[in-house]
Amino acid sequence: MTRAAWLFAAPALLGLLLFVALPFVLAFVLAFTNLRLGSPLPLEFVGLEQFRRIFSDPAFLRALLNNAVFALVVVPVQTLLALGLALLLNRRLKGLALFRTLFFMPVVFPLSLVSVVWVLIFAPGANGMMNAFLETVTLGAWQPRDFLHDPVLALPAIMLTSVWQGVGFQMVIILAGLQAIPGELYEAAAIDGASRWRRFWHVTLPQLRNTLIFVVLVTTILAFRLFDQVQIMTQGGPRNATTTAMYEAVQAAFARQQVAKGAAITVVLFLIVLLVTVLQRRLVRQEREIA
Amino acid sequence: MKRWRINGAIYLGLMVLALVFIAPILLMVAGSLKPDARVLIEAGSWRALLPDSVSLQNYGDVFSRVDFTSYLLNSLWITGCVVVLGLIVNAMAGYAFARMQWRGRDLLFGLVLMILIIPLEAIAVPLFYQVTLWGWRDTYVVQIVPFIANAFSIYLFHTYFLGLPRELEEAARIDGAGVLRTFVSIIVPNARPAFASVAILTFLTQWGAFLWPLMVTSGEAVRPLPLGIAAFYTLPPLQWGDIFAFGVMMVAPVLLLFLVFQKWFVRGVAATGVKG
Amino acid sequence: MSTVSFKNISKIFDDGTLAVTAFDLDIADGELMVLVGPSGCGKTTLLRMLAGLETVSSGELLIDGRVVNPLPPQQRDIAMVFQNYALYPHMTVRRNLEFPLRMMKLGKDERRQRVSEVAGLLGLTALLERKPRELSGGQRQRVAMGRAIVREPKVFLMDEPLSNLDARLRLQIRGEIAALQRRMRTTTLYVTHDQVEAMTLGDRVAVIDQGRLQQVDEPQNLYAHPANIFVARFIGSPGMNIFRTELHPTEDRGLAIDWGRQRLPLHAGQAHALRKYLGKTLYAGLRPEAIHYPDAPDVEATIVVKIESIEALGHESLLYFGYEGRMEETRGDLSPDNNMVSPLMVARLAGTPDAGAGESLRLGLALKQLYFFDAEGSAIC
Ligand SMILES: Nc1ncnc2c1ncn2[C@@H]1O[C@H](COP(=O)(O)OP(=O)(O)O)[C@@H](O)[C@H]1O
Ligand SMILES: [Mg+2]
Repeated sequence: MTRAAWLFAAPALLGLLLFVALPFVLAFVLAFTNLRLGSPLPLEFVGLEQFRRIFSDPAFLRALLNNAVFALVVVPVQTLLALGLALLLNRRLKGLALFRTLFFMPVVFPLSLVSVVWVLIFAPGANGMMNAFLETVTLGAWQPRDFLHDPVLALPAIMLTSVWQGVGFQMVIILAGLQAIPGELYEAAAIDGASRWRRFWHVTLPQLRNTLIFVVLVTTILAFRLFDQVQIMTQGGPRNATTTAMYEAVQAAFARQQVAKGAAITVVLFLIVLLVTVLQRRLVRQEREIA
Repeated sequence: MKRWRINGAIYLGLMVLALVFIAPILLMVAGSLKPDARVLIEAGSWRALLPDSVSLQNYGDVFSRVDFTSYLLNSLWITGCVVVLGLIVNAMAGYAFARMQWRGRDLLFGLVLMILIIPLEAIAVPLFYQVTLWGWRDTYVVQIVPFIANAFSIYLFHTYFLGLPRELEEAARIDGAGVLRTFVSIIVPNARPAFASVAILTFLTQWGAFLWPLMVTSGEAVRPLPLGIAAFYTLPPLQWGDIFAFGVMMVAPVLLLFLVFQKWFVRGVAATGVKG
Repeated sequence: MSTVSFKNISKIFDDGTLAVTAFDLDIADGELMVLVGPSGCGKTTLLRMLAGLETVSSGELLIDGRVVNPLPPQQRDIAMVFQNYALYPHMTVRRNLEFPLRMMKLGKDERRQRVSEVAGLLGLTALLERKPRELSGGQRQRVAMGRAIVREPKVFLMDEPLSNLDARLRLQIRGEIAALQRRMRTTTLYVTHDQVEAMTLGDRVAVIDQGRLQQVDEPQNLYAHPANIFVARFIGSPGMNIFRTELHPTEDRGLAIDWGRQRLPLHAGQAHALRKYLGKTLYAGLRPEAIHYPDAPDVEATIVVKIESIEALGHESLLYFGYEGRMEETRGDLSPDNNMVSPLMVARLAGTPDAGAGESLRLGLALKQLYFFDAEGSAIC
């Protein structure tokens, strides 16, 4: 049995070893060296030098700030929007499947394509779609702006693009969570005389807690992985207003051949992801202990 | 009466939201059918969302301006390989973890669960260095092989296999089937939802892969569609009609699959939420 | 064709559960052996060890005199019917039946022929192209049987194959299994927790409790000569009434036992065998069938009982009563014999007695049919 089991598991384990575990370890090793591709300098261990460098690099600090702002805005907005959509769709009405399809559709769009399409939506001048739309809804008060070249508006533009593409994903997960809530709970609450609002507050939300924590976790991590939209829509500009940790890592490792610096950045990235994950596990576990 | 009004309000709200949601898609589709110049001019009005003239001119232009077929075939080949090989490799591992008794199993599964939280982004740079050393850059292999084994797929399969009745395999073993035969003839056919979920999630990820191919390919020969559209978008002159035509052709296979297998897409995505 | 032997088999699960202890049993060629016992007593574990689905902790398993401990299931040439049938959901009935034959690498023609034979035998011919989910419970059960039969294996194993059926179907299929086994004469191990099923089906019945074999014998002998209190109480519906009692010498140099505050004289033969238990702990047993109305022919003593409840079945009634004056005592009693004695006595009476719960009734006892057990619960004489 053991031999057969090893044969079954070996290909996948080998793959994970070579293409996840090995580079993962390598990241921690490289981050402490001075490695540059094609550099004539000998490979040296430089200790925390790379970390000192990135944390005194204004571009990288700005990148972390952008990631954090992105997370702080997109996580609540996208989660609430997904929750709202899921609640709207979680009822027995004709035609709701069609709406579910529509809201989910952007999820199957590659981010690269989404980014390109939204570049046109954010086109400058009164003719730009977003500008025209805002002018209409503000009854003419909106002055056309060049979103993607505006230091204040560029990041929000990317946020909007991301929410549009990603909200359907969260919606479907929350919808599945809603449908997993046993109907008897609502019936019991209704018999106890709980109003609609109270039922939402005392039945739906607690039952949905783990799902929501999961959605928040995934969205937060996505915020720190942000890359495609930035690369295509703004190249980190204007003046680093939209740069991200991943964008800086690729710039370093790829455009400037500074592999060690890139590795240091991804190590920081991983630590952030780890922190978020651990926090999530804590929250979920706490709830289990209470229950 | 009241119920009727509430439902009416819900429908109305949903309709408005739906319009916002599909506006970018309409813009793309409509734009792909219009002369290039009109796309920009009409971008600020309702007409941007409607194809008033229907012409396939832009689609022809895409093929004459870039080698779209090459991008498409590259994407199909890479995605196809990762999906098919990934299903085989990860399902077998998931099965070994879920149903076989072997030494080291629980320890290794714990490691797989830890690997689950490492995103590609966190290892992209050293992996890039690694494949550079191996001379793998600018190949299909570098875009396929690293993504076959997938911790999340293993986890999904593992969960699903645990839910299958044990008697099914036991009956097969008693009926004379060996381990491999039991897996192929009994387990796999009864785990279609797991295979569908994993296939769809892998497909979506690979079809949209951008960061990794950007790092490890430079020539057009092995580049997939996402790099294609990024390059096409910066290729002067800026022709929005052509870009949208490219986009429509790029997303059409996924969209088609999505509309046909919608139930499985939704289930596949929902399946990611059951963890934790 | 095939014999099966359990030689001193024990099973300890990884978590320390002792499921089977020092189990010895020989099953003859062509025999239908029923393993019966309360749920959790280790029946399934025994079957699964024989099938090769569970390892044996110690002891030897033999099929046809050959030790099979190290063989994987597919090399033991046994077939099993699972409690929940375990039909392959994605295959039609035909493919289900064919699966073991494919594994034997039989040719297409032979497969077709065997499948149609078995389908005919079990009345499945019209269902061959259906999927399991399109079948009723009874039909699924038959397919499971068919899949076991079609291979013509050395041994059949059946684990509570009827427990998922309703009462009527259970009765019908029980008959079919018996007929089928008689025809095919394949050595069979049949597991059930239902003693009625065991008694009606088995050539011999092995009674198991807490992982140990209590007694193995033909059904009638189990009923007539239970080896211990467990078997006496387990076999029969309802099982034997057991009460704790004491021996007393009588004036005519015989013996009598206590029934509550009353003395029941024993026959000379009984007294002879029991004399050495004078002054020792003794349990006595009386089957519900040995308690009658007072005017019945073989009644030798009468008692007055207070009726707790009556289950009237029409042609007969089960009458439950407390063991005179001792009810409180035994209920609150935590001494070890609490699981030896019956909490309530029961009598099987013809028709319906004209008294209700709470009332008193005079009953007659057929003292010749008394059983006696020692302090450990083993039968005396
Ligand atoms: N895989 C297992 N691990 C631990 N204990 C088990 C396992 N399977 C069965 N047992 C225990 O072994 C005993 C016998 O179980 P089983 O053979 O299923 O009884 P039966 O079939 O007579 O109802 C029970 O106490 C049960 O809880
Ligand atoms: Mg059992």
